[in-house]
Amino acid sequence: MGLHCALHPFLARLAGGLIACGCALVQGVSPALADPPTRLDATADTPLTFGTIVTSAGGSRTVGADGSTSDNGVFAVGSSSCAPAQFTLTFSRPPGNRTVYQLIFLIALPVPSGVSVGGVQGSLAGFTTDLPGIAQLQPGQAATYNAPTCATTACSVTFHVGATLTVTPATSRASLTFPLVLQTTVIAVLG
Amino acid sequence: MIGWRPILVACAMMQAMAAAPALAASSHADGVAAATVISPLRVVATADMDFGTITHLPGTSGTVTVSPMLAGAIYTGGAGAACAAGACATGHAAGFAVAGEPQRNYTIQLPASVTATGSASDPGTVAPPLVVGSLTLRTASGTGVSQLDAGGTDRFEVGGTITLPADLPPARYRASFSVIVSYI
Repeated sequence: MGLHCALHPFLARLAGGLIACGCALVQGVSPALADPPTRLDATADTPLTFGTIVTSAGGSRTVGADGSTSDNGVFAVGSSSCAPAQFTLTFSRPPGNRTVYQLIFLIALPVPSGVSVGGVQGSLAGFTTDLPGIAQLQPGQAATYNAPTCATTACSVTFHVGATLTVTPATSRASLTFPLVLQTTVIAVLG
Repeated sequence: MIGWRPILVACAMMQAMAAAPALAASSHADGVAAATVISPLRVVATADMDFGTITHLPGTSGTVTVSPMLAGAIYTGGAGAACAAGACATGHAAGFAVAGEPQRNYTIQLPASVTATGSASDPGTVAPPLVVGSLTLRTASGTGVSQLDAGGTDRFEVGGTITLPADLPPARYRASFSVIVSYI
């Protein structure tokens, strides 16, 4: 108790400082409640492309978030290119707000459904990203991403998503298209 | 001691309030994943390479050549047809049919040479193996890049030259070889 009593004046000053800091934070963010609201925009910049492939007995092609490709039972045809999908998340806040802050996102992809075109069946699985800490993105499950600190009005994060496509053999040309709906939410703004 | 705890709690509450507006910030992006799957190339042998029935002068070597897209055989040296034209089967190149993605280019790979093994007509006589070399190729789609037509088909023929050593015993020769077709 004697020790606590001895520290009390210091803690009181520290707490006072924290109050001042907290109040400044509240003052800095509060205008957003009445004026232009904070906004989160997610955009799909480029599609996830697996190119043109051929398989005689079925197989799979994996396009990594880094653009790497690997094939199992399929062969690439021609000069068609493969690329991961690219998404950009942009968080905007009212102009004039210069507080340094950090965003925490929830990111999720729905469970993909298979497609069947012209007798060819395809399915997607094994989603990967190049977001730090989210090497794999399980469909239907949200992953948390801590964005770097930001001090500007609009802060954005661009990342890539890869996946593995599994297909059955084709007897004729089949163009497979899968919706890739990225859902994201800002769950915290740390400032 | 009793003064700082409520202060810190109040500070935490204020920070939570500050973060609260962002909790409603959600969005989604409609991306797509796309791939094109095409039918695999198929190649079927439609005709064997056939040099016909050959004879050659004693003690004289020779060659027989069959060329793609050309009927008959060309003989050199002591080699010649064993019978008059029309009296027996004439030589011809091997034929193959290809099917796959319409208008798609493809390549054909042939072996450098083929070795034919013989079965001598006379018991106790050994027929030496013969080499079929100088394999030549021609596609129906042209002499440049092989391309499947609008219906996704093409055909090609493979010719070659068989070399006959002198004093070759009467024998029947057979050989098989593989061709590989690939999309490009």
